[in-house]
Amino acid sequence: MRCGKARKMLLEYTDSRLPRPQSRAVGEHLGACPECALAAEDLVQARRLSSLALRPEPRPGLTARVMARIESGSVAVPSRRFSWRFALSAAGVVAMLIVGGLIGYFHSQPAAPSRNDLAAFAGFCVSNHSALPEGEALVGADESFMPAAYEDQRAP
Amino acid sequence: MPGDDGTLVRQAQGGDRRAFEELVERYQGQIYRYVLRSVLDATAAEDLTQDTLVRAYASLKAFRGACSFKTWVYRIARNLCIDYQRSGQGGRRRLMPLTAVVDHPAQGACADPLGRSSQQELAEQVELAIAALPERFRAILVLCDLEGLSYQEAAEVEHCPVGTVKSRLFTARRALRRLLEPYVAQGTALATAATGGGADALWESP
Repeated sequence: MRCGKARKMLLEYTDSRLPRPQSRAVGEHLGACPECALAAEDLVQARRLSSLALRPEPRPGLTARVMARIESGSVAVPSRRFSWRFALSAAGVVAMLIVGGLIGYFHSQPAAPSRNDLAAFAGFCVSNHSALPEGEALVGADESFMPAAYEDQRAP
Repeated sequence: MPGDDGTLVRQAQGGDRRAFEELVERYQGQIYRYVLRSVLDATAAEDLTQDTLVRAYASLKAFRGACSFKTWVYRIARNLCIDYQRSGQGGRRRLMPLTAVVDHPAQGACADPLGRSSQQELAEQVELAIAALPERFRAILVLCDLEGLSYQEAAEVEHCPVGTVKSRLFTARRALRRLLEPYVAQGTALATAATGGGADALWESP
């Protein structure tokens, strides 16, 4: 058994909660690995020390006091208290949804041409038109403006 | 009134207050200690223990037995402790051993006065080391090592996977051992003396 695998089972091993075959395998590893044996010893010593912790008891009569409160009938199922933290989180989520929706909406709309776009387009038209023979349409222009001489090239 | 928790819970759900009283009697000490280590105030701990048990009674009809009654009550106590700390009633948590909060003789007190004083000093050091652990490690150590819950039960109380419980307990024990390095030999001797050798199985490395 490798150290990594043994370490994963060390806690259960020292708590005697491992099945026998695994426990035997970990025990064999500890016999051969001083580092893991030291880690196991640390766990055991920590348990020993924590057993010296206090075990305070409540003042006598706690059961009677609890039962008296129950008998008095002032027991109600507690309702969830208003939480500012929850309210702020919810408001944040709603705000993000609204902003996201607006951004998505405006991105889905075709962009209106700006003044600069129109000016550039007009310049392009003028320069191309002057280079063409008189009456020639721009490539891709609406066929309704096509001169009669090109009628036969019109798409069926 | 003898009976397992499941039987007592069913009887209490049917309106038998004596059955609920038995459950209160059974768990008040554990809940009190758990809460006390969380809030470090004896009066507040007693109030919160009462609140926990009263709330358990009020919500008993809703208890469906998906977990044990014990872990369910611990969970109520845990939630109340969190509410208490969030409300700021306990003030900022100070590093303070439980020995400074409650007047209680050390476990398995020795007859010899010298031994008793060193045992009390050691108990204070142990409590100080437990109090110094970060909350998530301390909670698991208290549940598993001091109150004897299984890994599974501790996982239900803390609402985390069993693997997390094991990992936190491993870390908590090693941290505790490091914090108490100067007291290990003394602690081992005292723990063995306090148990009178009757708990050898616990102390002996498997």
